[in-house]
Amino acid sequence: MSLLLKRLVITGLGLFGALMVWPFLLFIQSAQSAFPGYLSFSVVQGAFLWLVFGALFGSIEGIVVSSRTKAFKGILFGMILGIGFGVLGVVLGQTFLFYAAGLIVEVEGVTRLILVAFANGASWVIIGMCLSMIEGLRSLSLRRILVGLWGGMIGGLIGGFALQLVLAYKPGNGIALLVGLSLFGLSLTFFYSLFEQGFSLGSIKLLNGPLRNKEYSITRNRMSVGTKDSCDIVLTGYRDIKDVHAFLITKKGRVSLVAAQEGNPVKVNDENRSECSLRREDVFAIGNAKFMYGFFSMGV
Amino acid sequence: MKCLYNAKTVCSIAGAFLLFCNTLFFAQEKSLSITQIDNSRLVSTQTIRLYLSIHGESFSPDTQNIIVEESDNGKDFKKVRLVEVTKNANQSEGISFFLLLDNSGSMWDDLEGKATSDPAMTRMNHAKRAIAAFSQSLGVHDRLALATFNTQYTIVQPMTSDAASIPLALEGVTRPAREEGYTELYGSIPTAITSFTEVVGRKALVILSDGEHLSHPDSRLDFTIKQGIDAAIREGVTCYVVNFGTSRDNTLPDLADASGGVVFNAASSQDLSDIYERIRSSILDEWAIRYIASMTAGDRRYVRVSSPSNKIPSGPARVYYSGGVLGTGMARPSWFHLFAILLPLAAWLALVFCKLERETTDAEIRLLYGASSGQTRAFTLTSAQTVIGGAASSDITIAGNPSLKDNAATVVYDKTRARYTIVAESGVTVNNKPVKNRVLEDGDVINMAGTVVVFDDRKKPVK
Repeated sequence: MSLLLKRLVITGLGLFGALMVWPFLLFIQSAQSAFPGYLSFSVVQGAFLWLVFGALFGSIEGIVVSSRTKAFKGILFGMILGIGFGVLGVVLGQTFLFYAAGLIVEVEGVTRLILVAFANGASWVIIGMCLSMIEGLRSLSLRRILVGLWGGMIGGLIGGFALQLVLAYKPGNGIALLVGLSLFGLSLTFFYSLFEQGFSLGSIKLLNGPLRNKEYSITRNRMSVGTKDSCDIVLTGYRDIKDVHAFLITKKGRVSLVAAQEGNPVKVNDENRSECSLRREDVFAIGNAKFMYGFFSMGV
Repeated sequence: MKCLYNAKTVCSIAGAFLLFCNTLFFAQEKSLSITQIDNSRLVSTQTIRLYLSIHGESFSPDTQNIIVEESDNGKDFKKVRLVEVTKNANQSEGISFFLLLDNSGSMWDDLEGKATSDPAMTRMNHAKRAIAAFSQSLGVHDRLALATFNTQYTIVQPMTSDAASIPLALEGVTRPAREEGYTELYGSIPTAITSFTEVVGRKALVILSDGEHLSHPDSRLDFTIKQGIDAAIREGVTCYVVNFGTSRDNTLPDLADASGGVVFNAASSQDLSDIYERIRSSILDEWAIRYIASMTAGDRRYVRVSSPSNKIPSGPARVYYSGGVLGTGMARPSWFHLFAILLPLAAWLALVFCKLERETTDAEIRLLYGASSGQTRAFTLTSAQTVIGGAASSDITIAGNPSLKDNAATVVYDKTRARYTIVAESGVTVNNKPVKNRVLEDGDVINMAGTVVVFDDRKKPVK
């Protein structure tokens, strides 16, 4: 999957999430007066919101590398972690909104509209940041957590701002929520995919076999390559590859290819190596799967 | 001289009468005013804390004789359940006072508004004495800041808990030059209130002025009292107004009303001292009420307090923000909203279950980068010999790379052995190794003067 397609898929998932969670949130909000308080109201909304978004986000890696097992594990993990972080995000966001909007509650007119929209945008930043950290926590990657924080921040600001802006003109209208959620989902995932490349130390591109053209961003200090489902890069349909065959290790900004065990066939530029620091355009083979290392979105 | 004496006498009597009326007024009017709303526990405990100031009546509020009502539109109020009533709510946390002192030219006249050469007789001197005395009476948890205004706004003492620094700071307040002697009252109020932003807890602004707002004729600023009122509500600051002298600004009572404060009239330094102390003790004596907030939809919740058993009607309603972070008051979804769930769900599952790769069986070379468009493109190798180069006559023409030879390389297909070989004179690498003749394997990377292609032989199984 090329980088462009990957970005389209990730961004599309953001939109799917917005559409799927929208009716649930409409239903919960229409029953606001039945809740005993804002805490339970926020908890239920947060749980539904991130149950859906968490599942979708969790499936990204599985979809990108065409691994159903990885996708389903990601969905399960995303749902469980999503509920926890979603509840935390919405409760914190609601608390912040009460504080921030409380400062301007008696201001009138357009000024109020814009200030409340900003306050809501800032609250959604908290929600977005909580959500988008899930992928980083799942992969235990500080870089991905940072990527998530940036994506969540921008997505949250845009979505929360839009929601209040539309609600000001159409109070109680469900379309406002759909607009807010869609912009939130789209911008969160779009910027997530954009920042993922920016924060990465390059990427590797598979050149042959059934997974040809797939790109893997190097966003962790240690990435495993092999046939096992738990590997970061799962290679199925290739010859001479062990369960855990090799590692891509990042140290001081340099990426190295290291064979996991003596005797695992690893080649860099057609030479057998057990460990080698990679340079741009290096071609390396793990078993008979061939990769190129570079910065593909930037023209290598 | 006689005439002057008579005028002084008349002014003194008038001042005393005003003070009497002031006292009488506050002694008779019964009111309950909400001085501050604390919604910081609304999410965690669903409770709101109201700070109440009781005027003109001495009674102890409790959950039986106080009624708190909420409304989402400011009209239809419903009673809410009280949880707790606390006296002396501010004693343990202390109060932050901001004293805003008029330093216009008239403050350097005497109490009757006449010019005087005796500094001890000026209104400013009376005010300084009262402020110095007030600073010494503050509690250990209280804080105080001081600013003056005339044509300019000047911070004399930033917020401090060091009461001893105030008398010294007051010495720095001097008579303004004629051009500096105007009364920029409306601009100074929001400026002073904004400096409260970082301050937490109970906040009070005490404005002492001896006249009306009067901007410098050349001033480009166009402040109104509305900006002060907005700032006071935004920052949760209660504004107290002290009219010192015979003239007063007619809009300042609006500021006091809107922020839960009171207007006082003073005629001497003793009056001032009494008023400052009265403000402090009234805030210290404030009551705090905690109640369970309602869960009606809407982003504004109006709240008012009354005590029917004490015949105290509701004061003006105050407002707090009650909107949901994900929206509020939405209509119930219809059946067609199901499509919003099912359609994306189907698309998502399709992505999970389907592979997104393009399947072909022919061998090909794929352009990685180096061409003008920069995009990956594929060229099928169907002939026995395929010439790759920059010339239009090549079998595969790669444009946009002036360094690329017309015929950079030839890929030859050996039918009997079913394998491809690349043949080049010079300047071609395969997997970063210079080559002139080499059998190609699936996934080999060919670099021709910076144009990089991948050899893709799908006929050869990789497994």
